[in-house]
Amino acid sequence: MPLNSPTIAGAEFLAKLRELYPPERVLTKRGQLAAYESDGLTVFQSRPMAVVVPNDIEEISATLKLCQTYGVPYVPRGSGTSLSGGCVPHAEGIVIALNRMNRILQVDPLQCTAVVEPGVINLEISKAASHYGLYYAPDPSSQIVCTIGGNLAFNAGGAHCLKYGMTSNHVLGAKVVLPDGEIVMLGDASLEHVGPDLMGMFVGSEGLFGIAVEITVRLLPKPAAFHTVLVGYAGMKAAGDAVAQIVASGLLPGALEIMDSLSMEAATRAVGVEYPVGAKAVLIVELDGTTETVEIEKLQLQRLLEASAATATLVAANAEQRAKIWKGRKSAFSAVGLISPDFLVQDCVVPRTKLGQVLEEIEQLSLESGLRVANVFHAGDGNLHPLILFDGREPGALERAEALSAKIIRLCIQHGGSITGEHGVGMEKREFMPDLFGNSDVEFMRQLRRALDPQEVSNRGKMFPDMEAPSLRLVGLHPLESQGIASRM
Amino acid sequence: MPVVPACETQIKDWAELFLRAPAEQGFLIQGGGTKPAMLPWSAGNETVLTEEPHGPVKASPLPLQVIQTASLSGIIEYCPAEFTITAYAGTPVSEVLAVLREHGQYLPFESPYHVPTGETIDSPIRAEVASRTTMGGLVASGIHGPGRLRHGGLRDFVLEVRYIDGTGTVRRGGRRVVKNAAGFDIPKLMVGSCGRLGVIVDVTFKVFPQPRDYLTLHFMSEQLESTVEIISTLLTHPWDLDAIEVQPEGSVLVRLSGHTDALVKHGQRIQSRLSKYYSSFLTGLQQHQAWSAYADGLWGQNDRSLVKVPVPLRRIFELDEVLEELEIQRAYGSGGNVAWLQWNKVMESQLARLKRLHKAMLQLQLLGHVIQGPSLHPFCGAAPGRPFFERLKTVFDPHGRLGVF
Amino acid sequence: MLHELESEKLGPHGPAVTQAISSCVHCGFCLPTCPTYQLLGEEENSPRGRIFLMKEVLEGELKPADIADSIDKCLGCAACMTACPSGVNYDQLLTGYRHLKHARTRTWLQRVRDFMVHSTLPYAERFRWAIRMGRLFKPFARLVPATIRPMLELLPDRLPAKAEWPSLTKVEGRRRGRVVLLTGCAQDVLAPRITKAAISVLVRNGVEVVIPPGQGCCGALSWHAGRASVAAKMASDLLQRIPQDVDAVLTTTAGCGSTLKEYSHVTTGTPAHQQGIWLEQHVKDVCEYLDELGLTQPAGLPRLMRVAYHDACHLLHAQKVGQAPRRLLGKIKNLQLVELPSAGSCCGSAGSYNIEQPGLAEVLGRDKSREILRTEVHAVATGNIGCMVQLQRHLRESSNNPPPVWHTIEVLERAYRPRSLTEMDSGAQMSPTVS
Repeated sequence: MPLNSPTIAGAEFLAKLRELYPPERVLTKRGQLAAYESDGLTVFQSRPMAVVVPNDIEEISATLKLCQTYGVPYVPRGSGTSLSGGCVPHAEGIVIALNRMNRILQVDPLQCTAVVEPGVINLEISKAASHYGLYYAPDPSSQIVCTIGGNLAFNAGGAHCLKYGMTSNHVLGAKVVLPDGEIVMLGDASLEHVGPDLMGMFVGSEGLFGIAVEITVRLLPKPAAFHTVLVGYAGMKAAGDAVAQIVASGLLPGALEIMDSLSMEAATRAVGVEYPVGAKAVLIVELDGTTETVEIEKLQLQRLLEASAATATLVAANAEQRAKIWKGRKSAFSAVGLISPDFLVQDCVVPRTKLGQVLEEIEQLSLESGLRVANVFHAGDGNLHPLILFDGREPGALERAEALSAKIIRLCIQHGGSITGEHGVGMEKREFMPDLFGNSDVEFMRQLRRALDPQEVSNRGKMFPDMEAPSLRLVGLHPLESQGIASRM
Repeated sequence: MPVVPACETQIKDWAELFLRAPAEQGFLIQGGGTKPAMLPWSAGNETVLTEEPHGPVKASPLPLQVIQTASLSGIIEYCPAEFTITAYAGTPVSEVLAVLREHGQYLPFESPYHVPTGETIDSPIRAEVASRTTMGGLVASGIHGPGRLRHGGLRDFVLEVRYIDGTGTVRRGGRRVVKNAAGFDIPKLMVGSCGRLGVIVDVTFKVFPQPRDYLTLHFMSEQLESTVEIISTLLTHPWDLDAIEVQPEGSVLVRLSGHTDALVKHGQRIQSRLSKYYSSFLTGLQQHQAWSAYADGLWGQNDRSLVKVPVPLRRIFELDEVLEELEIQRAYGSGGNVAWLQWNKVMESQLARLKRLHKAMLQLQLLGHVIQGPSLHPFCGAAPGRPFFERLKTVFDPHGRLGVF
Repeated sequence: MLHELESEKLGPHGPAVTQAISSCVHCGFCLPTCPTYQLLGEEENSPRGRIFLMKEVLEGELKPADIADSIDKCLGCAACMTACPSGVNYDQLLTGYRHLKHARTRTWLQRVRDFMVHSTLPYAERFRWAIRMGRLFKPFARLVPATIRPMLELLPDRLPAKAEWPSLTKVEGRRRGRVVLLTGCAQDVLAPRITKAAISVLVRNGVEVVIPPGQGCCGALSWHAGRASVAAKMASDLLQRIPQDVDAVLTTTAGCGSTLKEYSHVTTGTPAHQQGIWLEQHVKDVCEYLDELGLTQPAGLPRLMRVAYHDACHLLHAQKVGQAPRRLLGKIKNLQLVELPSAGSCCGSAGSYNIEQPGLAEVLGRDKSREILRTEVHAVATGNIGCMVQLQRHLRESSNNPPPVWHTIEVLERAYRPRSLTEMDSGAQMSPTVS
């Protein structure tokens, strides 16, 4: 492995980097580099050649030019919370850590926009805007830590996508550095655009089109009223049916979330949220809007829930109780660490009407594989998050978990869904791209990428299958390796 | 609702046409033909916008091959429970809206030619345009109605686009699910692409349940300053407004939607908060007439130029000053996020005015879309994102057959 | 997180260390709460990064020296534990790691400094002597190596008189409780007034106070530095002196409290283990105890006073005691409790951190004190002597008229005094030099 033993060209590249940055912002010591080995998906680990910590757009631009000149791959990194291995470094490349570029440059209450740097944490935008009664709507579960740059690169979602859309809907413009270092402005502070929607194309490009630096986001007034209900059901199917009924009624809730008993158990242990006794599934429904509308819609919702097979209904009486319900939901992923030594988070989408069927099939697959699968997901838009629980110390357990995960993804594709709703393709889902899009369209996307970055230095190894992979270091052989898709170089 | 075999055959034939034609063969894609300025990209010999950054318009060495997508018509799939609808590119928007309405759903960004407060269209010109306008044309032009303000624009609701690229390959971008983060967001790139990236053959939209009722507040305002103040107050309060449009004479139309019982109370609250401005309630027929008249002002006119200019609310003053000087009439839509510019040919040649506008827009660093008028090019002003687009364009249309941008 | 560690091979710390590493899911929720990450924005200076790095060292992938810098920079404030949804016990991991690997990474000057700290701070008499000696050198601070210098700079100008404590203070009227009160070691030298205030408030509320004579250090400093055997020895000595015929054992020092609450762990494998378990079950912070017991006597100030409460990390994050002191202060008439925007974030004191990492401690202390000054409060209340020294120093540097820094129990005590007003107006009275 070429870890930390740069070639002659590499050494020259490093020397040039040191001309660009003061010593404390070029990290090359083993202990420093090791910390950047992986993101939220720890099965992929790869140590970069160096980490740089830029302060401004000019430094980024100069760094990218240098990477092009030397053909050195780079990966931009925010808080490293990607669940698809989106910011795993390349062993012969560098990490561009954007954490010091965390300034909120402007909050404009007149036109309801904010301009922020990529290292700003999602929730910080809402905090800064709060003073004006405004907030930034996309709220991925990791919003207390994930950065807006990463949200933009992976088109992050969250619990409120059905009504409010994903990150893409809320990013209006950005000053971006293209992979060759050229700085261009895409979009602006207006809600409207003319010509091809370049900003829309850039969002979700997983860092392959460059780095967004000054990002203009839309702010919305905080809803005047919320009505948050936690409903218990005897099974997942009953909860899924309730979702279908609510959607069919013409209501458009801000959020519709389902948690199963395993994830409830984890959330209870982590943050002390209590769920209805005996419930095998809970549904969280949140209505938001003007006071008058919510008053009317909550009666409508009550009737729908009464007609459903609900075993218990708990209405959040105040902001504190609402926050508690959401805390339980948003910590569920990490909390699963309390009930299982290891787990894989899956992210896939199925048409909403197929939810019940797909959940049953997942349960069947879980039984067959002998691994427990916890489910916590955005039911409103059919975005499933099966959590596959396993014990990594058990020989072969990781492989079985990976295999089950692949089966679940293929199942979703079969049902007309997608391989990812909000975590992105990253390293994890590369091999499934052709299943979803077909070889020709995947190749076409790769050509688009090469049109901007012929050497493929921007986040090399992500999104496209059969790519030279960042080196992997795992406990046991990774299934990607055994299938010849990935190698440890 | 089945895939129409005739349409599929047509799509194959067009793809074949692209494959067989010589590389220098130019193509022109036409939907309902409702936005004349979008069409000719090299039909004439006069070059309008030669100033940087556009450069001169390249003339095609061969006569343009016109592709009329109106023949690709029909709804392919509609799943009310999934909130998705897929239709061939040539399907009239009116047809889609009618089908959605049967299930209490709508396109939240709204068709610019249709008014959600009612179905009747009195203006013969707009009625004609509304009947011809197609789903593919909506995407290619990227133009939507006032509904953009609340839930998002056309770009936020397009889920999948099938298209023929400049080499004759049929491709699909996106997928027919309401949430998808896989691969590049090609459907969004297609929004506003004006046929420069490919022939759109079908599109899938996310749809929403339509609000049960509407109420409109009509605010009087004489100064742009007060108009902007009204808009900003409206935007920063949690009033869940459907639309805010500023009419050419300066008054502001504010649309609320939801349950009939809640609307009046809600409207009164807004009125009292903005009590220093005179306002009136519009409901029922009166409301429909007000919105129809507004749409007629934009889409019910002939013999004039129409340019769409996105502009942040804070920059409206500088733009307005320039437009005043150029004697260009304007309305501000989407909560003060877009200017609709109009002028007719009475004062001077339309083309001369466009040239002056182009220069002014370059200085302001704003980009405009010439929807109707004498342009040979659909855009005027500055396009700072061009380097990004140009590189993508080489993949969609390597021979440059679909026109410049 | 997957790992290749074998718990059995890591000795007594093995189970805690492997448990912490395997329960970390690398989600990063700890990042924004970490003071060093906030300042430096580098993964290796975040809790998640440190956990990963410690794992790498324990697995043999990295050498202890590779990560010594990021381990040294860790405040041990445990703010990450409050944020962690997976329940990673970072504190135990860090302690275990320091014990297993970290001690071998020190330079000779660091060793001298560590020796000076660990051989004086925990021993009241030596500490008193060291301060007197140190003061002689203070004028020459610039000549002293940078590693040692901060120790001199933190030294107080004057020391209060040595306090003698009654071994038993009885209550008048109905007895509501009987407790052992620990006096702390360094605290007893720097600010015996805290113990004095605690006795007074407890007795006023019907609690009989036992102060075992000859208390030594509880071992907290050694324990956190990975000197497990020294800590165990100190713990055993202390346990010998504590009578068990009481309702609770109280401490006024957050740093000690958090270690006392881990005594079963500290005393593992020693004859004092059973006593350690008993103590762990009975130890409480003085505010925690009073909050549960409830105040019988109404307390009040003669004039409105704004008081900022600063969470000591070892109280809030390590012991999860955040509301009790606030509730107690909230009961004081005429006291307006002010929340700091950065509440829950470390002031940079962190045990002996301001001696070991003066640069970062400096920034944290300065930022915190400036924030306090912006809130324009009349006084600051907190629950740990280390924070008090740190805040006091930085407030004095940032303002000519700094608000005094009190222990929460002192504020209560003053609220019981009829003549409190005049004293409160005089900031100088509140410096640690006054008993």
